[in-house]
Amino acid sequence: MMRMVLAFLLYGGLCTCAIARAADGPLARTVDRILIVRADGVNFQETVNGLEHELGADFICDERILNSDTAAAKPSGKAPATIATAEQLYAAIAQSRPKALVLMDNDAIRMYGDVQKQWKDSVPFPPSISLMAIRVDKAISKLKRATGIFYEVPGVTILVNLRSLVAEPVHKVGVIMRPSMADFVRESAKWCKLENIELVPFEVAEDRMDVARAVRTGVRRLRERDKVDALWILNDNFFLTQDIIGGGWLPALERFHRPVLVGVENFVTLRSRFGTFAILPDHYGLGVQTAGMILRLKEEEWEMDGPPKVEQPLAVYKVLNLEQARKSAHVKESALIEVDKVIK
Amino acid sequence: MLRRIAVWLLLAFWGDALAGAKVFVFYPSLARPLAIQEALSKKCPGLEITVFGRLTDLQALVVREHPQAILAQNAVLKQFPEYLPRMQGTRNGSATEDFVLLSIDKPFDVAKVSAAAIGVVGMLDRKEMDGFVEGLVSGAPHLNRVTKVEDLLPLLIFQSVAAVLVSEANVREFQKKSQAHLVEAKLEKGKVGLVAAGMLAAPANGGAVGSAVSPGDEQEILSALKALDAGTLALLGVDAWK
Repeated sequence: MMRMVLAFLLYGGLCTCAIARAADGPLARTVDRILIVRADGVNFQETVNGLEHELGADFICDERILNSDTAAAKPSGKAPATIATAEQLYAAIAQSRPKALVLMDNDAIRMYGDVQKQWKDSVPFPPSISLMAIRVDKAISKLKRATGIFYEVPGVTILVNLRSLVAEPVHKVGVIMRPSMADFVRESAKWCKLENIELVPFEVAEDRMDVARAVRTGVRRLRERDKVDALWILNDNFFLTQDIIGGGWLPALERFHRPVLVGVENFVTLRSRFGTFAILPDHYGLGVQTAGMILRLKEEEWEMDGPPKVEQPLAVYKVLNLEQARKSAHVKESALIEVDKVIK
Repeated sequence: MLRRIAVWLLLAFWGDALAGAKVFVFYPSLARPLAIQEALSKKCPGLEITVFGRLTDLQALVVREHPQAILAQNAVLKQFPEYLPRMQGTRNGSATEDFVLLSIDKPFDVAKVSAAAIGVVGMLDRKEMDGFVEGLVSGAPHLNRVTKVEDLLPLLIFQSVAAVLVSEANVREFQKKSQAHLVEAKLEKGKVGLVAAGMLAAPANGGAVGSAVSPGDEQEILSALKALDAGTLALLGVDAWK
């Protein structure tokens, strides 16, 4: 019964042309609604800021926070509603009647997937743009009318930035990975080739028992045999547990006197002895990029056909550990003004 | 209690009196706003300088704080009609710079611009930016907006756009950074005004946007800007003032 009521609401919403009207002002303006489903937290809020600023007054963004009892209040003072189930998301879609959904993080994507599965005989669902999720390409592969932006900063962006910072050439860069990341590294290698940078992978099997040892072997091989100019450490939790950092990366990097690129700011702090240069997603920029995709969707009258397409993230936030960098390369002092945060 | 309020008011008054004239700066470039702010503040110790990386932040704070001056490219300054240009930045004797369409491998066909997606830095609001770009490229392309100049390079590398709209000065910087084969297409009407200093004029509505900059403050701001060295001026994309 509940499903029927929700389906009726959704059908009614979509059929009544799904246009909201701005309530204020004598000349009511037509506006499009976007439903944002996201986790709670500063980074998610910053992404929403970029999205809302860029979309401007022609859009209304409704938000639903996932699995949270205490969603932070917006600057307007009102806290967005929270949701925890596919039914609640379905109801939110029916109530908001969005032209598109923005799904932030893997849980939001999963939940929309559940909605599409449970109400598969219902009317067509609004298209979705997914972001801030691990391997968003895989996460949205089963969604209908879906697109997204990778959260992982592509190697070419990281390495072009490194090359601008150091005097030494950056031609060969090592990367330690497991087979499930091979497609991501291959895609990165393709873009790196355009910039005359070769990615040299070292693969560690998923079922390998002593991963820390494999990391030590990998770093040694990349240093001695492949003579790489830098090492790119992927944001893959498989390699970033405390045990593997302490028993694998740290001892291996003591002899690796080249820049080490990471995707986590904590890894370039003065005490970490780990990374040289961290390149992270710029969340405000991610929001702006998402807004661009929404505007393009609108131009295409909200049509989205074919297999899911995923864009690379464009804006990044750069953090440099200067002391560590000076130990591993000749830093171009004039280029430091292009770094967001220099840790001295 | 009254004494406490009096002391608080006195401190607030002194604080205001001692603070320098407020100057807001918005100039999207490869340098980080904080780096520009530190350099300008060091050279202009008498001024309270804030450098913005995003237009929305500038717009919000101008409304709230009514700075005495705004330093920005002419096109941006025009969005703030209460601020009248008093001093124009120049480079190599010119008050404008050339913008070009930069692409990879083959030059962009400017005649087909209306059918293409172009990358731009969102230095103006969306609708104003559409008009600004149309004036430069003589067409109406789809615009992919980014917040930072450096984000234009990945747009090109990932082939998300056919070309990006950049100043010739930035083309040289991109060529230093990238080993991709970057090619520029000149634009007949591609001239863009360089950074100018706009001063808060007497508001037409009797003070709703704050009071006009005093002659003393204006003089102080202009003198400080004229005294900037070449390296600091370069951060604003100019080498002299007129």
